[in-house]
Amino acid sequence: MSVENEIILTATNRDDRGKNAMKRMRAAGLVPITVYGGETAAASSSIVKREFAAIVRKHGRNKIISLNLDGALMPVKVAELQLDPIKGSLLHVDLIRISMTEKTTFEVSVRLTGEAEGVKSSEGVLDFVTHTLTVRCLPGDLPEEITVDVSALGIGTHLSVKDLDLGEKVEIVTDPETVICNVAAPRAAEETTAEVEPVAEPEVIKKGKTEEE
Amino acid sequence: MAEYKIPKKVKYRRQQRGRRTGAANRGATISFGQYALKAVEAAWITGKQIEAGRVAITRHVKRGGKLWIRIFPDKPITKKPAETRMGKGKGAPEGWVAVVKPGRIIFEMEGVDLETAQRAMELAAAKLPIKTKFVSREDLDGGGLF
Repeated sequence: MSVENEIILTATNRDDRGKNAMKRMRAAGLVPITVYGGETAAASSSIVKREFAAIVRKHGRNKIISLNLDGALMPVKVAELQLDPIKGSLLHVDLIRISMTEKTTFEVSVRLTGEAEGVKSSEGVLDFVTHTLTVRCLPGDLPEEITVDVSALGIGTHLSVKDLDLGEKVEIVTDPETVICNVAAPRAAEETTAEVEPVAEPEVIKKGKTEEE
Repeated sequence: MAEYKIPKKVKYRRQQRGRRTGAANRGATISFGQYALKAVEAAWITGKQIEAGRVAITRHVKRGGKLWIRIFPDKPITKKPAETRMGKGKGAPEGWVAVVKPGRIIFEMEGVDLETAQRAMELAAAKLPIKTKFVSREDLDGGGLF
C-alpha cells in the first residue's frame, strides 16, 4: 500500500475462542477482531482498543487502515463495529481486506453544513433523511465523508442524491432520487394532543371461518 | 378510552407476562434523528408514560424539531378487580405497555440544538419509570464512548 499518511494498526493472532476468553481479552484492553475478504481465509486476531479508538476518533470509520498482522501489511477497512448496547463500549471489530487497484463499494456518511435559508428566515425544520450513501470507487479516492451545503434550501425544498457532484472518480450507487434532506414548514407551537387518535379497544382477529363462508 | 396509541387489531385479548432478561438487541442504535434517549434498565413502559414523555418534549421544544417514538405499547396488561378471590380466570385488560430492555432507544430527536435536546430528553426521562441516558449520533462513531 502506497498511501501518504498511512495509518498502521498492529494486530496479533489469537487462538482463543469463546466468551470467557474474550472477556479476559477485553479486560486487558484488547478487542477481538476478524479480518476477512479477498482470496485469503478469514483470520481471527486482536488489536489494542486505545489505538483503534484513536484512529476512529480522528479519521472516522471510513479510513483505509494498513493492518500489520504478523509482519504482513494489508489494506483493510472497518466493515462493522459491535458496540455494547448499554455502555457503548467496543466489543468486536470486523475488518475487510480491500484491493487498492480494484473499485469497491463503500458506505460514506453525509455531513450537512451551513444553515438552511428556510430554517433561518421562516423557522422551518431541517429534516436529515439519508445519513449514509453508497459509493463505488478506488480505495485511494474514497472521501472520509460527503459534505453537503444546505444554506440555499428554502421551505418545501429538498436535496437529492442527483444534486451531488463527487467528481469523476467517485460513483454514487444510491438511487439518484433518494432525498438527503428537506426543509419542512414549522409545525404549530403546541401540538400536544393532536397526534393521538384514541381507539376504545382493539379488534380481536377471529380464528377459523367467518360467518359469510 | 385510551389517551394514547394502542394496537388497532390483536390476535388475543390477553398475553402472558414474559421475562425481561438480557439487553435490547434490536432498536438499540439511533436510526432517524441526531439525539436520543436510551434506556439503561428494563421495564414495562405504559402508553400513558410514553405519551407524557412525548408531551414533555413537544412542550419544551415549542417550535421546530422532529421527534420519533421508537417504542410502542403493544402488550396488554390485565388486572383483577379489587377484593376478588383468586381463580376464576385471568383479569380484564386494563392497559397497554411496551417491553423495554436496557439499551433500547426510546425517543429520537432532530432539528434542535444540543442544549434544547438535552433538556427536552431530561424532562421526558422524568416521566419514565427507569434510568435513562442521553446519547447522540456522534457517539456511534466513537466520539467518546469507546
